Order: sequence, then structure tokens, then C-alpha cells
Amino acid sequence: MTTESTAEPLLDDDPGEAPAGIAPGSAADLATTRPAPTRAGVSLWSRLLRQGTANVLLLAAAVFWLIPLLWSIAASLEGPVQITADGWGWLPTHPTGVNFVNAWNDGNFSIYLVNTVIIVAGIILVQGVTVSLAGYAFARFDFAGKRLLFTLYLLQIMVPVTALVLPNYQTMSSLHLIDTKWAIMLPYFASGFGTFLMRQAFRGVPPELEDAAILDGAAWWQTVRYVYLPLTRPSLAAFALVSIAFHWNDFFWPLIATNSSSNRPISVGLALLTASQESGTQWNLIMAGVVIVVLPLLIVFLIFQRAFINSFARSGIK
Amino acid sequence: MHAPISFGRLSRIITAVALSTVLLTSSVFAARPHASTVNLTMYFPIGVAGPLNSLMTRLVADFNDTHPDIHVNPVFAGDYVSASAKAQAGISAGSPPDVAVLLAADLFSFTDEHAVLPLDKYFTKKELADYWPAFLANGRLHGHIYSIPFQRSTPVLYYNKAMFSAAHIKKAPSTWAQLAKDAQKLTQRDSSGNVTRYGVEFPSDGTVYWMWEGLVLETGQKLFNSTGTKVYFNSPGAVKATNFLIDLSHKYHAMASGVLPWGGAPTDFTGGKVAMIYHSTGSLSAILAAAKFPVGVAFMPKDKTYGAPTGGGSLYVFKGIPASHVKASVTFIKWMTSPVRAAQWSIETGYVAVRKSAFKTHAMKVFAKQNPQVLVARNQLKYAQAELATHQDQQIHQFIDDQLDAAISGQSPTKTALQTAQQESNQILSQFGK
Amino acid sequence: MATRATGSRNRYGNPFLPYFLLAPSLAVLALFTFWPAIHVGWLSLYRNNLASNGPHFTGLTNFATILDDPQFRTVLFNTLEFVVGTAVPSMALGLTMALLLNRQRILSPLYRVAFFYPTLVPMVGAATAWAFIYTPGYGLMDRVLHLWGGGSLNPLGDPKLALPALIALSIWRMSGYLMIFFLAGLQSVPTDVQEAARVDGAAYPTILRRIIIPLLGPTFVFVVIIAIVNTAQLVDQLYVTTGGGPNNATNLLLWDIYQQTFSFQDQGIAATMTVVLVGALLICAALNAFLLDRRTHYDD
Repeated sequence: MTTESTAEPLLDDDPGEAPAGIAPGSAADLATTRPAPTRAGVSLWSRLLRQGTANVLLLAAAVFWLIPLLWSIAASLEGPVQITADGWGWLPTHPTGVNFVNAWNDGNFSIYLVNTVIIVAGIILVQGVTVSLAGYAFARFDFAGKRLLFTLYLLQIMVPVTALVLPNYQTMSSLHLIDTKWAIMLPYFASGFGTFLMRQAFRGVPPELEDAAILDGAAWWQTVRYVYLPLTRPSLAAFALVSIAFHWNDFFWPLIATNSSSNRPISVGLALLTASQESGTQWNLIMAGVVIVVLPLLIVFLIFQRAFINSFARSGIK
Repeated sequence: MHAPISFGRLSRIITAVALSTVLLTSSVFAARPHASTVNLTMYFPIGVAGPLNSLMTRLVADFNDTHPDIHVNPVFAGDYVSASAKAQAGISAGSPPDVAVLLAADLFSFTDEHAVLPLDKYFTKKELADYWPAFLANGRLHGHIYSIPFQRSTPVLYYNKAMFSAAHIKKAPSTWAQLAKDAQKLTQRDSSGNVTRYGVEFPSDGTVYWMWEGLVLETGQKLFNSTGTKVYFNSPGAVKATNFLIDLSHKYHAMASGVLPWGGAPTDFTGGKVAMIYHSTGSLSAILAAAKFPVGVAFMPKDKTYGAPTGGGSLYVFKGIPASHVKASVTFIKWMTSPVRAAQWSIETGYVAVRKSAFKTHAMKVFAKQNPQVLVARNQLKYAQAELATHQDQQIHQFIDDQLDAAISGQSPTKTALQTAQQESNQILSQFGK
Repeated sequence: MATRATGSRNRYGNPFLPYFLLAPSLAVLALFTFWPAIHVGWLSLYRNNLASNGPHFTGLTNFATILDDPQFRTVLFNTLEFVVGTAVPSMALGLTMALLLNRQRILSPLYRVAFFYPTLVPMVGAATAWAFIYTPGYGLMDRVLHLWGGGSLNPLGDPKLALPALIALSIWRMSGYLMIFFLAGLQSVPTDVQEAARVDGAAYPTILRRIIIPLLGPTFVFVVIIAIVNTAQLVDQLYVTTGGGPNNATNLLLWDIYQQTFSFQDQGIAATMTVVLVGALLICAALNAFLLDRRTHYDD
């Protein structure tokens, strides 16, 4: 469709974050600007035309992709009468913030928000440790059963916790953990995906660095802490962000594992707000709930989107 | 190009947030009510909109304040199905709630699990006689009463009085034929023939079996037997009721076709998109609050007779809890369904007050004077019967809901669909029939 | 991928060190993935529901029961349609987005945000927003149809449209997520090779087919897995929209398992269905490894 003759770097880069020692052939050298060779025989006009076409396509797609968000925001600012009225277009005719106040109160969102932060932070902290340790073991040690164990870790990617709701629910009840935040967090304390990612990243670190550290008398944990982790931060960050997004939005397992609002995350809160609309769906209220739930992650992403995509590109996920 | 915020900073922020929340957690987990009182856990679902949650919390707080030796902890457990699932899961895990508001029609599921206690011995005959018989019916089994009605409802016909007078229709339809005729008259189309307003809406997603049972009862046909081992889905009355629904869309063109969402009907109605809806009395308060026009409430129109199912939740007490908890639970139930509280719950939600004497309270008299609509549901109770309740009721409900969807959306002919539901149900129920 | 051979030594003098490093995560995997997967196989051999008064060993009867059940076949077929119908278009769109965004453009930040943000929206929120768009009468879709003089559609209430309507929502939500994996993968496609081909007069489709896509091999392996797993376990949308209806038109395997477990209390059948789901996922993993992974060597 498009015949771009330039292949400029994906993004501008923050030189302070340039990773060292990423495996050759990987996304290591985004930071260096590649020359933009021009193809002989293609006129400037035809290039512009092609680029224009690509941009128009992209713009149309982007607008289409944004519609659900914009439509939700518009509805969340609207009064109940306008929602069903014939003439209502995109701009709220009677903008009001009252839906947000009502949704916030009806939906108990203050509790859910705190719960979500606790749950997500708890998972990420523990995962950070477990995937680093396991990734290090698989990247830099030979031991009996390594292949089998690594396959088992990869299998966890294919068989997620939610697929096993029935037995996992039973396990949680026999541990008397149903309706606790632990029940939501525990199954996610290990991650096959994260382990795989960190293994790939650690394998890209030149072993000489570890040798040097050992000569200096470093213990294994010091090597991990001061040699490996600083050099693989993009991978860890990319994993952390994917994991945050996943657990912030996770719904099915928390719904099953908990009963009371004091333990449930915001996604469940939103679903309950929707489910409690039996005597008339108040779309303006529900859309305010949707916006409340979506906004925190969206703002974080807007601020960090450049760094996020960059770190992803450099994480060696491929 | 400005410098992006670096990941170094991001990861420091994340760590800081994480650590502070972990510290915060320890304090959150600490709070618990003090000992020496009986602590009861109560599950409750929300059948209707948001404010109910806070209303329940307020009611329970009142109870706790006036009963220093009992502390009830209300747990909002989602809609009826999830609340029931929660309770059942608790039962199988050996940690049931003490008391719960659950679907009255779920009785057999709980008795099959030997999970609930008969409650009749804690009530005098006189007390029991004060609850509407149609509401108590779903709690009766083998000469005992296993659940006490609490938030009970029945479907009624809501109509837009302004649209009625504009169309010169004097009163709400009282028969199916009249309903079809009025609905046709009330349906409006634009110049290109697209419908801008329908005459009537009968929501049909989710638990369509409930209001559909009303139509079946109106043909003079019962839907199930009292021991919950037989259903009559393929009876002529059931076929007639289903065809009536389909005709409203496809013969009279007075109702949108396809499966229509339950929550959408009141919104369509108060938004002026439809002139009449079938819906629960539990939605009355919300509809009155949202409607900008005079709202009429009428009986579900009759075919051979008037008829309606009861619906909603009753209070159950669970087996396996200490005797002191049972006693406290009964105290709580009696308080929650006392005439004054029953009236209050009814006034604030639109559910039908579960006791006759609640209608004699001052508050209810005043309210009924301003909103005579609340009395319609009460008067309809004379014709009301128990909600479809069988063994394994959730699955039976699913069978009939699925097949009604199939018939309504034109996937299969009515008779085939109902025959399928009947066969599927027979298969399940035969395991229970003695 | 010629990194130096993995440090094969254990230079800390403790032969148990790797096991010690793996112990925490292995314990979690064992408790919440491996043990339950085995346990559920065991449970599938028992009849255990409200009518059975406790578990009774029945061998493979449960499997026969569900395979004989037309509703289960519908659910299986729906699940297949949902997974394939979501994964394939999402991958195509994700790759297209990545190819178009793999260079600096004036509006790149806007495009990235627009395509990626759905990933950050909880599925229950996304489904709720789309349910409003699909609402007959005053939803966005009907309003647009009305502008063009069309009638009213009720996608979620029509057995023929309900699943496609939910698939559209899932594609919208997933493409941008897959896009970032493709973007990451494209960083390892050397530009000079493409340039060389271009100078030799190769057209873009050829370059795409002969150079870019083969070099993206490892990315495809990964993205296929992510796409399949993420869709096969995605039932959040059913909770806030159709609940599996109308007449099971949107009922998916995991949703059926949920209902069998918690609504119908049929543990035996739920366990049997779980075995089918896990089995299917493992077969996908094996096929993927066999068909796509041959040229991709993660290992030494």
C-alpha cells in the first residue's frame, strides 16, 4: 500500500535511557538515527502523494478508533433527557458534571480505586522479584530439568488463571482466602510471560560483566541487582506496564474470588454499576462510570506514551 | 522535541506508590467491629438501580443501632444470579452467610443442598397470615416455610398517559386484544416509514421467563407443579402466550422485533420512545422520578383471566450457623419485614410491601394518596402466583429463556422452541422426580 | 541471534542456586496452574451436581454427555468463531498499524494513542460503551443509520448479529495491543536489507512478503499465542452485555464453565468443559510451536 522509502527511527529517543548490551540484531540501536536514503527515480510529488494517502488512512482509522471514547465522554456530560432525544449530536447540549458525582457515589468508586491500586501494586512488586529471579536462573545457569521447567513456565502463558476458575476457586476456598485481596493477587505472583521476557533480556547482557563482578567478590544477588537489572530496565518496565494494564482491567477472576466491595477492584465496581441498572439503564451515569474507570490509566499513558512504546520496542519482545 | 519522562523516574514513582499503598493496606485490613455481639453476614443483591445499595446500608445501620447485641454486616453481592452463586459457593465451602436476600424462586436449589432452615416455627400463625399469600407461596415446601418475603415484586403495565390522551385512548388496555389495538394506534412512523415510536415493549433478554409466565397464567395455564419436578413449557397456553408476544412485533408491528434488553425498557419509556412497557413494580420509583409525563400503571392485560407471577427476593437463613446466629437472624428478619420497615422499603423502592398491615401504616397511606400507582400492584396480587420455581431452577430458567429468545428472534418456530425447552427440562427434572 | 553461548557455569559454587531462584515462582505455578490442571482432570471423571448428592465416579460419561449436547456444540463453535474472528483481523490490523507507524509522522503520537488506548480500557468498560453504541433507537449506530435513512438495528438482541457485534468490539480493543508487539518486532528488521531490495526494484508487497514477514517470524509466534489466549479467556463482555444470549448466540466456553460452576452447580460438567478448554489451548500451543516456531530458536 505504501512504499515508504525512508525508514527513520521509530521514535525520538531519550539518550539517558539507552540500554547497553542488548543482543545484536534486536531493537538495540533505535537511538542512532539512521540515514534516510532517497530512492532514485521517485519524484517528490509521488512520494508526497503516497505519504498523504497513508496519513489520510491513518487519520480516518484513528478517528474511528477514538469514537467509543468520545461518544462515552459526550454521553457522560449529558442529561438523561438528551440521551434519548432525537436531536442529540456530539456536543452536549446541556453539559453537566452531576453524572460523575452520582456515578462516583453510587458506584463506590473511592473504595474500588484504593483496592485496585493495592492489588495492582502488590502483584507488580512480587512479580518483579519472581520474574527477575526465574529469568536469571533460565538465562545464566545450566541445571538438570532446565528444559522441562522452562517449558512449564511457557505453558503458563497458554493456560491462564481464568481458564482454571473452577479448581482455583476451590483452592482459594480451602485456603480460606475467598473474599480477600490475596485471592486476587496470589495466582499472579508468578508470570511465565515475565520470566520469558527477563530471560531474553538477561541473555543479552554480556557475561563478561558478570565475570568482572564475581571477580570483585559480588554475591549472586548483587550481580542481579547491580549488573543485570540496570541493563534490562526497558524489559522490566515494558513487562510492568503490560502487567499493570492487565491487572488494572482484570475482571473475571476478581469477580469470582471476592464478594465484598472492600476487596473488589474498579472493573468489578463498574460492572456492578452497570448491572444495578435494572429499573432503567441510565446511560449518562454509566458512561460517567466508564470515564472514571478509564481515565487514570489513560492519563498515565498519555504522559508516558513515548517512553512506553520506546521501552517496548527495546525490550527484545519479538 | 521535548524530552519524554524517563523510565527511571517512572519506576521510582511506581515504587513509591506501591510502597505507600502496601503500608496503607495494613491499616485497611485492621478495622473490624468489636466482639461480644453476634456478628451476622447478610448477602443482598440489587435488582434495581443504585440508591438501593445506600438504602439497604441505612436500613441495616438503623437495625444495628437499635440492637446493640447484634451486628449485621451487609454484603452487596451483585445481581440475583451472582448473589445466589456467591451464597452457593459459600455453602459448598462450608462458610455460608448467616442470612441472605436471594431469589425466592431459588428455593429448591437451596433445599436440595440442605442449606437453608425452615423458618415457620419462629413465626406465629397470625404473623404469617399478614404476609401476602402470593409472596409466601415461593417459600413453601413440604409443609414448611423456608423464606420470608422481603423485596417482592410483580410485573405491571406502565403507560404514558400523555400519549394515551393524544391518541384519544381513554384508559389502559385490559385485554390482550385491546392492548394490540392500542399499541398499533400508538405506534408512530416518520415519512420514510421508519418507526419513531413503538406502542409497546416487552423486554426479553436475560430472565424473560418471568414476565412470560404472567402471559401464560393469563391463558389459564399453570407453568409448574408445587414440588418443582414438572414444567409445562409446551402446553397450549404457553404456545399461545409466546405467539402473542411474537405477534406484537410481526403481526401488529407495534413492538420492536428481536430480543429487547430489560434495562432498556424503562429508559425507552421515560425517554418517550415507547408508549407502554411491561416491567417490574420494582422500577416504579425510578420511572416516576425520570418520567416528565403522567405515568399510568395497570394490571397486565388479561387473556382468559388476569395473571402475574411474583418475583424478587426473600430472606433465607442458612444451616450450619450457631444457634445464637439463627436467633439473631430471625430477630433481624422480623425487624426488616415489620409493617413500618416494609412500608418504608416499598415507598423508597417501588417493591410491593410484603405485609398487608404495611398498607395501614401512616407513611404508606400518605404515599398512596400521592401515588395511587402503588396500589395497582397490591391489587393485582389477588391474581398473582408463585414464580417459576423448580429443582435446579437456574438451569431450567436458562433452558426456557434460551428457547423463548429463539422463538422471539425468529430462529425457530414457537412450538419447536418450547418443545425443546420442555425436553431439556424433563431430562434435568427426571433426576429429582420421585 | 548469535549471542555468546549462555553462561553454562554455575560460578557461585552452589549447585542448588538455580532451583532456589526458581522456587518462589515455581510454587505459585504449581499451586495455581499445574495442580489445578491435574485436579480438574480428576474432577471431570465424577458426576457431581445438585441431584447427585455428592460425587460419584462415572469415568468418561461427562465427556460423552457434553459432546452429545447440542448447546455445548454451539458454545464450542461460538468460541472458535470468536477466537479466530477476533485474532486474525486483529493481527492483520495490528501489523498494518505497525507498518504504517514504523516511521516518524507528524501525527504519530495521536495515532499511537488512538490505536493503543483501547487496551487500557477494561473490557467491561469497553463492552458497556459499545452496548450503548449498539442500543436500538438512540445508540450511535442507530443515529448514524437514521441519518442515512436506514431503519433500526438491534445487534445484541439478534442471534445472527450478536456474536459479530462482540467480535467487532474485541478487534477494536485488541489490534492496538498487537500493534506494539509488531512495532517491537519491526525494530529487528534491518533497514539496509529492505533498501537493497528496493534499489533492486522490488515492489513493496514483495518486500513485505519476502523480507519483512519472514524476519518477523518470532514476533508472529508470540503474537499468535497472545491473541489466542487473550480471546479464549475473554468473557468479561458477556457479563455486561448479552450474558451469553440470545439463545446462546454469544455463549462462550469459559462463560459456560462459569455458569455450570456457579449458577447450575454442576461441578462435574464444569470440570469436563475446563479440560476441553485447557486441552484446546495446549493443542494451539503445540501447533503453533510446530508450524511457526521451527525456525525460531529461543534455546541454546
